[in-house]
Amino acid sequence: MIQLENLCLRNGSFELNDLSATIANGSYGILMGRTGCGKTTILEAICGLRPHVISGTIWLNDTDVTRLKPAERGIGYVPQDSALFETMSIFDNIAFALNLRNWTEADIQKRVYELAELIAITKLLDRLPFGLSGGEAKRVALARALAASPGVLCLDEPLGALDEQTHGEICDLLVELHREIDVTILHITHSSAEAKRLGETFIRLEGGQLNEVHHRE
Amino acid sequence: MSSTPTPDSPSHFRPKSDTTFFFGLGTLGGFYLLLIISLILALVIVPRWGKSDETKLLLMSPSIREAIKYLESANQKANGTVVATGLEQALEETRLLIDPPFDGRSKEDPINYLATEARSLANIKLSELVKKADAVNVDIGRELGLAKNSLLDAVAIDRPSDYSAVFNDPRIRSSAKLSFVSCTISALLSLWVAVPIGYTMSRFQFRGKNFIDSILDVPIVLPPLVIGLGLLILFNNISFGTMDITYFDRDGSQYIIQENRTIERMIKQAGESFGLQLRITNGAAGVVLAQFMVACAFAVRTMRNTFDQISPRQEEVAMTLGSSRSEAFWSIVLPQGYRGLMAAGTLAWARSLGEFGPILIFCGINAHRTEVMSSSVYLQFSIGEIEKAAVVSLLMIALAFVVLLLVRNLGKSDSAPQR
Repeated sequence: MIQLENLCLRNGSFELNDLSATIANGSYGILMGRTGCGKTTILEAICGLRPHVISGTIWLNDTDVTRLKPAERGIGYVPQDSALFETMSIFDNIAFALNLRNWTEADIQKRVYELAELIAITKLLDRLPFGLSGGEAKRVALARALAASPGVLCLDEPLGALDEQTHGEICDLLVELHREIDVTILHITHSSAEAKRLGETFIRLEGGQLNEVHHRE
Repeated sequence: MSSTPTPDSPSHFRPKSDTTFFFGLGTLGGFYLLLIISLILALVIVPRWGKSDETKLLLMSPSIREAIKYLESANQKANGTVVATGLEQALEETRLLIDPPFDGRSKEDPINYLATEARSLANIKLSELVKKADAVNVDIGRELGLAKNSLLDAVAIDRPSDYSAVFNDPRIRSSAKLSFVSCTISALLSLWVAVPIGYTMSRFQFRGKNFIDSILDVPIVLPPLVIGLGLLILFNNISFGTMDITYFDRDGSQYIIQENRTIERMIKQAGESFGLQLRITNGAAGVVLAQFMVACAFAVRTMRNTFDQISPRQEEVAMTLGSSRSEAFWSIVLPQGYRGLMAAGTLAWARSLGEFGPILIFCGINAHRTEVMSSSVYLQFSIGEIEKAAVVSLLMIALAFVVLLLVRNLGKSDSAPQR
């Protein structure tokens, strides 16, 4: 579950006040809004990154994470530009979170291959991120974010800047992942088609206010 | 004629010619490249190479013949005077140089024999003759002077090559060694400091950041000489009260004098309590410090630019995946900054190699202790040995070239992604 309670945020000179919204456990939430309205700022606040939380509370799966470090929040984060670790192979990118949690070599192998198969990137595992296509990079970023089985997955425009075919493939993948994995997802987009296809909970950011549009069962 | 523009068609439109542009690129770039190459060539041409014994003999004989000519004309003028006998004798000995007697000495090492004989003739016998001729008012001073010069010209041909003279000079050898070691230490120290400062300045926003940024750039804009002066004053002229210094007299007796408590003296005293002879000013440590002060500013700037170019997004993702900031730095940021690190290290090393002003002021030029290669060049130049100064400069160029090449190749290793 993702719950924002009267959240006030500041990122440099940009401020968002009194934000409240809820995405139910295991639901696929879509955060929509115009470019530059502050969608990414809210997502980053949930992840515990840059924006300064002035007041209010962020609940993730019934835990108040407002003052917790990003590492302690149990989230997976896929940024807009994928931000793959350039000096590591795709395998090491996916295994990054597992290595931090001191998993055994065998368990890491098993988990990485399992995810790679689910996301269809097994043939990429030995490569470096340099030279991957946009779609491939998005898949790897997804696998990396899911490796440590986070309770919440934050996707920042995961389908932006992809060609039509890849867009469709990643869309299918997200649908499949949501069915296979028990995870609450917050997906930022400004495409209503994308929102209609994937979303269950719709939140619109307009004029600095969050409005829950509707839930789809 | 219609004033409405017609749509462009591929067959009609031609962009402006790029010939001038490329010509400009080529000539300006080429001009600078040519200047660098000519500069190096000039340094290569000036020093003399060693010559074979045959060449030396060939080159010496015209000078000796010239000396004989002058002596003969002096002999004609001095005929019948008291100096005539001495002059005859000198002439005879000079003629023998053309066709040396076949004794053991001249056969073993003909060049050495010729040079020694010619030198003693010029410096002793001819000088005495000049004095004698002056005393009896015989006007042969000019001829004798010319003969002397010709003989010394012949001696000069025996000079060893400037390269071997420089390479065999223990003083220059130790200055090269000190240069290499001190540059390496100051480059490593610079990196050690530049990485944390560069990362902090690149990633964090805090009050007074602009002020700190400006301070970090001071060593770049300041004349290096001033940095040397600042160090000298800091270590030796600023006192923190007084302290007792024990001096030893020549007879072994000791006496105590109250002196200013300067940083240099405090370091020395601290060293003595551990049985060490520590010395910053006028010591090798001072050389490293003077080089570090300037080189580090360049390394900091390079590292900051390096970190600026690495998107913070990857660190943020790493932190959401469970890493601390330090883990993200070591595993994500630093491996990506590998090339920048190499560039900063190289820059600091090269900067240190060329450092002269601050070392001169802070440490002076003490052979085997604080003399680095740039000081050697200055010393050789100031005593008129331009050829040797050129050889030391070439040595510096070679050293720098090898190190730069090595670092470039290291930078190409597989651990860094190709961009």
